[in-house]
Amino acid sequence: MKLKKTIYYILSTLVFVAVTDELQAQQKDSVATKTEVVNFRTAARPIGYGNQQKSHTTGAISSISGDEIRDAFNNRIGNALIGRLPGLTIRQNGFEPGASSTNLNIRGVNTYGFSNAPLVIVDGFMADYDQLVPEEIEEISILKDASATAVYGLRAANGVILVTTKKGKIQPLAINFNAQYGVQNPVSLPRFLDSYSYAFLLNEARRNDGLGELYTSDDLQAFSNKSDPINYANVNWYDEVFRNTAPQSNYNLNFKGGTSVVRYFASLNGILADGLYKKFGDESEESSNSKYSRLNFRSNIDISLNKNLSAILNLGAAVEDKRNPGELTTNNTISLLDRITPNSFPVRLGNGSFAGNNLLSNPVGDLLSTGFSTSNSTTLQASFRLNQLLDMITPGLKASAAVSFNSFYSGLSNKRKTYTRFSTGANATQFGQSTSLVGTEGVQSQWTNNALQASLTYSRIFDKHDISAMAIFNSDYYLINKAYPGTNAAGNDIPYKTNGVSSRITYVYSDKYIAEFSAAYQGSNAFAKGNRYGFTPAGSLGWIVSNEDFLKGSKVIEFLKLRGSYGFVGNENIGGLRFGYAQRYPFVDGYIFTGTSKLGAITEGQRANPELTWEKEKKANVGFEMNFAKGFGLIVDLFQNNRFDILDKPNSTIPLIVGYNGVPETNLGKVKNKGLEAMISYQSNQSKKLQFNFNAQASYNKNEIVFNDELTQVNAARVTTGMPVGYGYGLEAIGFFSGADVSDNTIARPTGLVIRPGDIKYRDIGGPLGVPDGIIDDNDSAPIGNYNLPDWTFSFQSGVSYKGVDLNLVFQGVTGINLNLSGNRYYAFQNNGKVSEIALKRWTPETASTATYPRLSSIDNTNNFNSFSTFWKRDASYLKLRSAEIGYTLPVKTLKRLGLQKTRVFINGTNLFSLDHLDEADVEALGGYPALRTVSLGLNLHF
Amino acid sequence: MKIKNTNYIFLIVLIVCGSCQKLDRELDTDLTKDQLESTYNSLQSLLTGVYSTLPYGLTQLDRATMASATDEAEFTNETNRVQLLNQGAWTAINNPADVWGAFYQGIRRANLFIETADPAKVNLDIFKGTANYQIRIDEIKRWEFEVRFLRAFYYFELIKRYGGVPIITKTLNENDVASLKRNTLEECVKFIADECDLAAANLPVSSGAYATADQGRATKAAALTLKSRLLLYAASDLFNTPSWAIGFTNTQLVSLPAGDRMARWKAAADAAKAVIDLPAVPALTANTNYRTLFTTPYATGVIFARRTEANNEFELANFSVGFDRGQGGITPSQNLVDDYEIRIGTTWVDFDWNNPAHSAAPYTNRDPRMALTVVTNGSSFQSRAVPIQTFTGGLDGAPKPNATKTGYYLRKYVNEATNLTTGAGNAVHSWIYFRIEEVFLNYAEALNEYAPGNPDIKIYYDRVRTRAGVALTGLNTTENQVKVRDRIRRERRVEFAFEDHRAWDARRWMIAPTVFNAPLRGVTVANTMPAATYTPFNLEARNFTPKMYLFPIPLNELNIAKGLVQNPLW
Repeated sequence: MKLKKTIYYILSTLVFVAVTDELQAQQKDSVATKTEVVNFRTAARPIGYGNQQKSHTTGAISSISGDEIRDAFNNRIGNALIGRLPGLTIRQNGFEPGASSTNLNIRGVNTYGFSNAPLVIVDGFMADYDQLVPEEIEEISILKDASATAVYGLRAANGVILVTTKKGKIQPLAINFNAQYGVQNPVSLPRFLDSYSYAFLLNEARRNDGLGELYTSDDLQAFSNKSDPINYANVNWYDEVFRNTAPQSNYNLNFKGGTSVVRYFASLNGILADGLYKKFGDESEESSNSKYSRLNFRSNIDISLNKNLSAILNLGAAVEDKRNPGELTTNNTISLLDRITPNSFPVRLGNGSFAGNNLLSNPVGDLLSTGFSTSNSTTLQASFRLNQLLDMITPGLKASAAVSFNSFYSGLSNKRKTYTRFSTGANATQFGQSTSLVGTEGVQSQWTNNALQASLTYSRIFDKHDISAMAIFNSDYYLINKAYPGTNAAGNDIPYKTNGVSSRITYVYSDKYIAEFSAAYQGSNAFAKGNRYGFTPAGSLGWIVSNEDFLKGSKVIEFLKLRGSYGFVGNENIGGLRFGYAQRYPFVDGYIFTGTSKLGAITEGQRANPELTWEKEKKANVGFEMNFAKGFGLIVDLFQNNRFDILDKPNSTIPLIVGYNGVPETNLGKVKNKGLEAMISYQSNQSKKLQFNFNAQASYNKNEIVFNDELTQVNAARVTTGMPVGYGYGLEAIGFFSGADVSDNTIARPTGLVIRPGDIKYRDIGGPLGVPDGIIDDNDSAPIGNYNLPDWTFSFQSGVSYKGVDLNLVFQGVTGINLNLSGNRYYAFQNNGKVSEIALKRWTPETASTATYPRLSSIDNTNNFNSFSTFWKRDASYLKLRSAEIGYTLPVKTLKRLGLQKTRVFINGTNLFSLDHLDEADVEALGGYPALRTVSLGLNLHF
Repeated sequence: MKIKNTNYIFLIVLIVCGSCQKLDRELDTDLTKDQLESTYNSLQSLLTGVYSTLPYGLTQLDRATMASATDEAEFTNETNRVQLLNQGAWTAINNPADVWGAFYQGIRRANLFIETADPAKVNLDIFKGTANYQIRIDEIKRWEFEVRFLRAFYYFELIKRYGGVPIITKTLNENDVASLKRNTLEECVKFIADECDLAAANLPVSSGAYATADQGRATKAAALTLKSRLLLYAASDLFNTPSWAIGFTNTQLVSLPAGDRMARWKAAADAAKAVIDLPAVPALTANTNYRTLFTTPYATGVIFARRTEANNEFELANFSVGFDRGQGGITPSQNLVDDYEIRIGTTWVDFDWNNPAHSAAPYTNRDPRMALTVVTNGSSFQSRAVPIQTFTGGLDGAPKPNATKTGYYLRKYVNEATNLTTGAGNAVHSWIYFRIEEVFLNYAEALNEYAPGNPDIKIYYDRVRTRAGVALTGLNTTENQVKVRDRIRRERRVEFAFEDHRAWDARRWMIAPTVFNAPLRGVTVANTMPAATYTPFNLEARNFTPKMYLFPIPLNELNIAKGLVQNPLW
């Protein structure tokens, strides 16, 4: 087999080089102590499959320690990384404890294909990072350019996140205990109007629609004086379901220490967070309180078996429990709350039974009387590594072999029932029926991920020549037995497998000139034989200018390195039909000829594309790093990524009439992405009593679809080629129709709809013939804004400490991003929904000049409410105070007697405030579970 | 020491090589083409795949049906895409009812089957020496003709929407696209008619001739009924009056060549008569129970239908909102309700709102099919003690969300026995493509055009009208051709309401610009004592322009297959 030959070749070459080399040289110290400020001269950092002295790194890498992100008090580590690493863009997907996950992008959007998700490596192996806690993390790095990522071959194109967990050290036992307890409360809640306002405005809306009023003045009176809470209900459903605050806490105990034989780090962490639901479990045995908890265990042990051989065993585990009344997540309850009108029905009827109607169930009833759902997940990350120093063959040579086993299991256990509701009024209709609790158990998701690695590294300095080389074989196997519901991963028991070798050679001359070459030759079972393997080379150069004579004595510039890289990497996660290279004839939905049983049916499956291959990207990066003026650090990077072979449908070459059951997906697309990252930091002299530090960073990304085989557009403005990925297309609103406008037939409007004064007017830019046609439709939509990832993200962190008191603040913001208001929270009365405060500034003949909201409409109005248009577009830029922490470290003297080394107490606030352009909601939570603010108290004991 | 070191190297090399996993696909649950050809079961499944393209009419358009895009009904949900058809806001890019790709996929499946199925290649060794051997061989041969019928059916569905379309009889690939051209309408009609004849000659006469397990398969009666419908459409105005396509030069795509209209009507009449003359079996006898006809799969008179598993999808979508989980989707229009005749004394007359006797009790003494098609205020539904109340404040009326806007709910095809709360009483649904009553009316209509006064017109018109369960008066033979034409058209409208005829009948009669452009009407119900009062009103403006006689071919198709021509006025 070809691969085996390659490995033999690489291994034997390295052995040969090593054996014939008789020169004596000292081994470099590859581990240096980390200081608070970025010091490019001395520190070592994790890079792909190894570590490297920071001053010798020629790739674009950013990193942060676990301790630094602890202050963003959060139950998902992804959210804690917001604003901490230049080039990393993070979108929070909801705030519900345990349900929230994060989307990470390194350097923005590089493909419109299946996945922009970076590769995540934990302690050298592909793994999940989501369940880890800051206390067990030594460092998180992101690898951004080709030079840094090429060793990851076909998985490198979206960037790589390297997570390194903490390790033991030769030191006396150190015990750390942290406790933090706080309350979460919603940053903002939707502001719906009460029954009187609802009825009053609905009457207005019906008059607007040419319909009669629904509520008489007696009705309005009854809503207003609240005398009949059954037939004239006025329910604030949010208040019935949610409470204002919910506790969240975190406890961590860890041990660190070691001798020359054994080094260890062990940690136990517990997170507890309640959901915002009221305590329904306290009210009914058949319900449950909303709870989330996670226990994290870690034991990293490093054993020296003899002088040259050491073993490292890393074990990390997490056990996660989540429990909610009704359904496991709050999504459906919240969309019901957003829609249900305050006067639909009361919570309960006079006889105590739940009320309801034909359209909507009763949110309180749903949470009290439909049982509860729980999920239990366990994650195990285990790896075992043997390191053998081969100095006896040649100094500086080291061999290593490692295996890892990761597994994840998430089970569901639900106890559910249904319940009866009744309509109000005479002849009450019964909705639903009462049943008793029925338990169901099931697998929610399950996967295992195993890998095996064997490597040789060589590192040696001869005089002015510093050579490091690494060759590694990696083979991994990822089996998804069941994919998480809602994800696109295929869980059909066919593993994802790759084999590959990677190598890197770094040469440094005179500590000034650096040349590095890295490459991977890797194959994936996703492609046909012949297209399976790919070679991804990258090269980089660096120049440490500060080591040149002309800068050597400079008092201003302490360190300066220029660097540049270029390379070619891949992304095998292309989506589409798995094994789409072979033509298949799958079973499809059958046909019933008689009785009720379907006869199975087979048809030709999606047309095969035997040439299917991985996405490719050419990455170029230039940058510099410097330390200057006693305490300042600066990093600047510029990059351009050219992605190609993005999987796409050949829409412009294969018509429907051919009759394919799916056109063959083809590697067609191209995307260009460029941008920059800059970070400036400062750390005052650490020996002073008053210390000050800051870190400001900004990153910018702009992408463009270079080629995209799109469907033909009559309207040239709808062509997406040349525009950024995920750009928003919609109508341009140009005010409201006045009474005179309505009868002026020269003003463009949609066909088939009756336009009335106060409806939104749109600009007519096109028609079926490409010219304005007096009709507002799809032909008039044009690019109206970026709704995908922000163009700019920036953050500012600053810390001050004086004697025992310290203060740390983290601000983060974005610009160049929009959002679109939609759904029941913003669209009054639509989809039989309710009305909120935003609608008060509606158009009426009297307020025509000041109105900011279209006329009210009691029926679904597609002109005003369903169009993706500039009318509902808002600037989504924001600046948020992500975290603020004030701490006090008790004087050492008083603690010594208690055996304590250090004690610190602190107050922490997370997501304290936001400056943005949106009045109606938090920019990160337009709908769904509310964005949360957390205020907490903490204690840190160090024995 | 040296030896030991070498050992480490060997160890690593061994681990590496030992672990080098194979990257071939491990499991293969799908079949390859060779396996298809050689296995009886696989080939049978491939055939089933051709059937499964048949459109299931009850949930055609995201729970709505074409009925809501005609003067038969409104669809309550305002954001359903069917509304685009009524607003006239559909285009060659955005056509909610487009079926171009779906039927060409079905045609590809059919072509693939015909290319694949060969009794000689199928491994039937296990049947060798038994009687089943020949049965299997014959069965495989018959399958081809089932498929030819289905393919003809799909082509007919295409031409009734798009006019002449490319006739494709083999599986294409992307290299064939450049040479694709639309065949003329005449070629398409001839192709479909010939295929129907070929299928008819090789298929069992009706579903009764099949073993029970094969009841729903294509039959001779189905093939001949398709031909009857095809030739009726081919003789009708739309395909013989190219003048509507102003400025369109390729008239052969949307119209038959000028010629002997009478011969076309005669061909249509003869094709219908060929079905009528088949041996009399239940499938070819008029059904006398207008209720169970639509709730019993393959009831008497049904020639071809598609059935479902027992479910309540259609009931969820269309039950009144006065029932738990009912969505009140398809709501019949006043336009339709007005077309059911009313009995005054013993004579059946047209309903007239201006007649106080009619308007005082508009749902009394009506054509019995009305109450079996439409749920009216005051009628009973399911086993609910309180009758249907569609007035404001009533159990089934506004302001309940999704309450009917027309004042009616749908009853035809609805399984009232379903309890949506408990899920009990779910039934098999069967969507009827062909039933014998259509053949009778096809025959009467065609005959009236070329041989007005022919006694068969009354015989077959009456077979529908005067059959038990409907029992209206028969045709008055003294009426002239025009009057009889109107009667036959009215009969089709009420008999086949909600069976996906109206959208196409109104087009081929070229009355669509009148009837589909008129406002859709509903009725306002006032809950007065002692009896409710009813006032019709215009509910919704509708928009139909002549270009909508035919569907636009999806724009992207024209851009890729440059040989294709867009339909007139799109």
